[in-house]
Amino acid sequence: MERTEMEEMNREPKNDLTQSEKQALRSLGTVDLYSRREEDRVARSLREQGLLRRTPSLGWNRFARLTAAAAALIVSFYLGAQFGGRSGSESVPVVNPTEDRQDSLAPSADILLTKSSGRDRVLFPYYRDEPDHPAAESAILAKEIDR
Amino acid sequence: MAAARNGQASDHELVIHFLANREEKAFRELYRRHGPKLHQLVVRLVGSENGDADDVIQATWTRVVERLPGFRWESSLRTWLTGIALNCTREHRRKAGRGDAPGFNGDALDGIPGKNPSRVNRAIERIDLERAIASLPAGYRDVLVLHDVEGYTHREIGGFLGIESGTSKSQLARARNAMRTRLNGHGANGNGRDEQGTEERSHTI
Repeated sequence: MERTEMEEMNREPKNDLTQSEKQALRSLGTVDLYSRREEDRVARSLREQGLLRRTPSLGWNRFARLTAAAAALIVSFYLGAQFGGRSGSESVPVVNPTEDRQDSLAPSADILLTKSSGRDRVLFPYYRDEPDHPAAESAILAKEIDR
Repeated sequence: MAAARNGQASDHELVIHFLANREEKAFRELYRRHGPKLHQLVVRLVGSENGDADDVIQATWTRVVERLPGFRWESSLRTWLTGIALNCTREHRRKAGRGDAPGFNGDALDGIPGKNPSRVNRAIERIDLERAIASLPAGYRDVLVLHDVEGYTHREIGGFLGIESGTSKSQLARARNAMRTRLNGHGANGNGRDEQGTEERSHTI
């Protein structure tokens, strides 16, 4: 077979678009088809299949935040009533502290550190004069550890 | 990978955000960015009647969400999504037992706008084009839509459809020829056969 015949056979069919044809077809590709209904349908189906987690709407978010705040307030009041008017995080079993004692036995910095790190609370200053009190031992121990 | 644009998250960031907790809000953002394009493509390939396109769209997004964790970003997200939409389209055709002429519903397109003659002409032209595309055999239609409408290369189309680039080229030439015949008022019989009566040869030529 001659070379020209081979080339003819192997050549891809030539069928170029005119400029206007090209533009017309490409213009079809610039149009998108958005449908909110379709979006909702797809999202609902994915949720039902367990592939998607519903995002709470703004209204629900706000409701959830308000509910949580109200619950925290109620718990705070409850704890306050239980521990003599102090909130839970500040409740310190104080054994008859006097003004003098508080002045003279003000917690030192390392005791405050103990308090903030959540370990034994500021018991030591108030028990210094009552070493036989059951809580005094652990308080003193905490103090020693801090040092 | 699509870069961030106009302060928006990039596709990659959006996907990472979605996969972190699969929240619906993040999904909807992803959908709004790519869904309309996919929707239009699927409507063009399977038609807008009988809810066919809706079913394919649904299947496409389900598969996307299932497989997104394994996407390796070796192509753009759009290309990957298009590939999945095409697979779902072909599966839908196989199940439905037809690969030919999708139902064409002009209402699925934008309405003919206003009184401006040039706009009316353009709209009519578009409807003619859509009708002609819809009447092509599925194999021709796929290649023509992907190449001439969506702008994919023959190599990409070969990857999508599992055919050689050369097959895509020859298929395109025949598709264009069939389109011209239909637009000139011949051969648009809507039964999925071209002028030579050749039927659905898409992946075997």
